[in-house]
Amino acid sequence: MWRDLKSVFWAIPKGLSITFRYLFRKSVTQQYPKNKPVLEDRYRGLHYLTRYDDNSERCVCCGLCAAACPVDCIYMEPAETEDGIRYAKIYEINELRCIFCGMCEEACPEEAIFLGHEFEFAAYERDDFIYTKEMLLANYDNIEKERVAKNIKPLIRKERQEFKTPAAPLGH
Amino acid sequence: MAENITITVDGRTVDVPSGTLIIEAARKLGIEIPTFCYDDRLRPVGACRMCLVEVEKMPKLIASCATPVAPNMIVHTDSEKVVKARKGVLEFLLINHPLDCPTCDKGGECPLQDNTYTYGPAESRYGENKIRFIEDSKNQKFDDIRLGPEIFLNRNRCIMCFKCVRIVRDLAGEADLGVFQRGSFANINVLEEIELDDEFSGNTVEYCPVGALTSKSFRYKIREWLLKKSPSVCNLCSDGCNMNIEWSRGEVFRHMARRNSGVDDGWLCDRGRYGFDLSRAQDRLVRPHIRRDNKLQACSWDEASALLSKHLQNIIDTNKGSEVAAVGSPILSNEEAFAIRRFFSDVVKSENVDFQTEYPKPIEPELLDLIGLDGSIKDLESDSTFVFIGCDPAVEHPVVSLRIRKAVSTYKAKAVFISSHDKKLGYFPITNIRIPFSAEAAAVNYLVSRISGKTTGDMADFKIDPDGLNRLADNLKNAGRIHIIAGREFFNHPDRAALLVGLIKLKKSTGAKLSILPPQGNFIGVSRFGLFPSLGHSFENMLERIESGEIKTMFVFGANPIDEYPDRKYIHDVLKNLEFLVVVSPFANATASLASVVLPQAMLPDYGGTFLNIEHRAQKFTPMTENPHSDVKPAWAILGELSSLLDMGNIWYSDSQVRKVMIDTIKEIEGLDNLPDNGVVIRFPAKDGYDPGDVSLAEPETPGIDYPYIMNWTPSAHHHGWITEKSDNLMRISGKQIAWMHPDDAAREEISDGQVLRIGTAETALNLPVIITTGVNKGEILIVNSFSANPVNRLLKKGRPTTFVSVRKS
Ligand code: SF4
Ligand code: SF4
Ligand code: SF4
Ligand code: SF4
Ligand code: FES
Repeated sequence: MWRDLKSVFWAIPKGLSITFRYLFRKSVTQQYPKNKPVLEDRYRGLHYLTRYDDNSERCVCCGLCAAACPVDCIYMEPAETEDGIRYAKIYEINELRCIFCGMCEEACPEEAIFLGHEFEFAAYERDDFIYTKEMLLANYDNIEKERVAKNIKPLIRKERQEFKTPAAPLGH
Repeated sequence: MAENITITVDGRTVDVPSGTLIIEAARKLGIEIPTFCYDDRLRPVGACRMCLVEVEKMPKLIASCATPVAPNMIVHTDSEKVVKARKGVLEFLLINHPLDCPTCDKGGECPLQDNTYTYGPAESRYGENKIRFIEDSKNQKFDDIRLGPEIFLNRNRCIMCFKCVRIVRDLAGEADLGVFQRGSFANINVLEEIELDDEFSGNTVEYCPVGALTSKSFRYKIREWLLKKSPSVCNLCSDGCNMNIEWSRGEVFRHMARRNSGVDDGWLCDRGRYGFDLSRAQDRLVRPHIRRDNKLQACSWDEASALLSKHLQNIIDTNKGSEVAAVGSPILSNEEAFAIRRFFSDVVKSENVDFQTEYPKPIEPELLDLIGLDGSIKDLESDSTFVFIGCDPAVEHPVVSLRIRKAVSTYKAKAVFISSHDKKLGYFPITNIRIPFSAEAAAVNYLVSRISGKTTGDMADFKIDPDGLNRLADNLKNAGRIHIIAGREFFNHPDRAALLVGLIKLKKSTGAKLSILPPQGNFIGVSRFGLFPSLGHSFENMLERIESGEIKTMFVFGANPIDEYPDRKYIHDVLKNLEFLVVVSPFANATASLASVVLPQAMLPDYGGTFLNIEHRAQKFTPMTENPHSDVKPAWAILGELSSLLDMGNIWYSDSQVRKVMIDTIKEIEGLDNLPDNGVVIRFPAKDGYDPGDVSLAEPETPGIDYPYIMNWTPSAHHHGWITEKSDNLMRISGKQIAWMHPDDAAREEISDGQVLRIGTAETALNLPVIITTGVNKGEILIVNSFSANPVNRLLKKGRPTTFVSVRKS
């Protein structure tokens, strides 16, 4: 009985002591949206699809990102250009379903898909969260512009990975 | 029998016949040896060295795919040496390999990927430049070359396993593909002027162990792991090849072989393989249509079936069943055929059913037992002499002709074609005995008399040169295991009765097997399971009854008589006389455009059921489980619904339900209940000893002066019947209609090769480019049929499968 009472009276100053302790510490709360958070390099936000230096898309629509995706939120349809180059005719990511696990960028053999730092992409319609290829490429263009402006070294190889020159000229 | 040899593989012993390859012995024990170039159906070449194994007492590793077993061999398939060797082989194979798996069509089903993953080194030590074959100096990004209308080759990915070369050369007997240059520069290619478009070219793509060969219709469309597979059976000819329909989201992407060693042995012809786009063809009917204000307008099923049931109720109430006729076609499944017969005899009380809309004369009931392959498809390999009369196996039965090719090329069988134009089996040696068009009956009779030593009639009347026939007759006298095969031209033959008599006599006098093979899909199935007019009128009689007003209502299931019946004008006029024409068809077509009601019919991947192939093998096909065409229905579902509206029983909800009723009715087909994957051969009791008696030969006709040429037609390997024209793939491969004529005739008419001709009769004509060749007889014109722009049946007159024509430059 006495014990219980003691703990009740003691609890109040004990709790308040924590409050006062934190009162004089540096705050961890961020004043979002006034102040933007500082994100780690490896932060995984909205996807973007990269391009080569000549502005061509890197994605060849191999389907590996969709195969790796644990929630099946990537849809694509390949096609070929007149030159016979395989490209993504349709490439869509449903960002509502995406769990931002980063498996797609892990799987991509072409360094085409990445998760960027963008996290402010609210919208009023569910449909607006289906990001098409054009939107994902536009994301990249913005990021790239910023990178060039800030003169940051590119993180990915920019030139095409191609065969070296043939060992010998060949006819038929 | 060769005696057995015991060998030890990885410590376990196995007993195999002598001559077995080590790899087969290991497989028997369930030990998998990785391979690239080995295929048990092709001659081993030992090109890739992936299958190296260690044999005790042999100094070097040996290729298990090319070495037969020897007594007391002790084989190791996973010793240290073997493991190291496999790593080495793969490292070498990958030296010049582009490893562009992300863009490669084979990714996901690639033996090179799989083997490298399982057995290969993790890294390459090769730092030099890779060899790259650049096809086009201007387009540096594109390394693929076009080999034919359907096949592309990327030589960088090729690992030189020679499978494609062996398939094309040894199996199909076409000389298209070859190897050029040597060493690391060795590459597969075709000669510049050649197109790889033979009827088996698609198999090279399926069996290439890497993504070097790709087909246009599948390239860059979808990944293998996204495809679902429905086991099915091809219905574009009567061989009944087994295949998997591979689809995703209700769309078919390709057909792949599903090996059934009794039928196709894992091969598909290009017609079956690339005809996969039929179900999504442009002309596909997906909704019911009713004629309103003299126009066909889309409507709902409820409306259409209400209209039909009202019409039928009227007929049933007034007991006018005999005014109704139903026509099916060989594209129907066994269940559909059975349901049609049941519905019309039980519900409508009409026995007028038939399916022979393309023949001038219906086949005789006795002939039914003679139709089909004598013996099994596999047995063909062991026949030693083939005599083809009015049959072009390469065109009518592509995959079964592979067995005949094998008999000819490997077992040195003889193949003799008696025909009015040259035929071929790839480049394998065959004999063409040329006779004038439609003189088959006379030729066969001549053979029979010659073999039995009787006096032979005068062949001059028929303009037959007896030399070839004499030689054949002498050969047949001493030959063992003769197989006489008659085909499409038999059914269209103007003097079919006489030809049949001749064939039966020839069979008796030589002790041969006789097969009469219908070319169209489920011909045998629909004729056996209900659509043969055993009690009612045949199609020919139906037409007469329609003319005289006795038949007023006709149902057409999957047929297209206007495009197929050998007199277009006549059938058009007759069908117009009908009060009520219902066309149930998968595609919009000429017949449907006359109909009062058009109903969308299910076709191959939409529904399940069974087909019967030429060796009476019942085989099951299954539907895709997601189908965007929700309104298409198989005939049994349509009729089941109608009978439920009419309150008449016979209500069917599934193919297996129809099958149960069939099994209860027809006792030979018990096996149909529980069909194994490779089907069951159904044995119908043969009414042997059918003797059609003697028939005198019809007099040969002579052409008039104004119309000096006799016209004959043929299907093509990729296109046969009205359906295949709807496939864009097949039309891309062989979408050109041509005519052939003899050089002498061309010289007389002053026509040059490739010129467009007006080939016609007094009333109408076809405009076709001509190819001049000695492969056809003088005075004959041969036309590729089944193109709706220039249908041959426009020239024909009722009752006659041929006609005389004139030729002019147009
Ligand atoms: S983003 Fe990368 S992994 Fe995904 S399809 Fe494109 S290339 Fe392949
Ligand atoms: S053939 Fe196989 S290993 Fe080679 S690029 Fe294609 S998928 Fe990759
Ligand atoms: S193209 Fe394919 S099948 Fe032909 S040799 Fe090369 S790897 Fe073999
Ligand atoms: S041979 Fe006949 S059944 Fe076989 S794939 Fe070709 S068309 Fe189909
Ligand atoms: S599989 Fe034996 S050498 Fe290729």
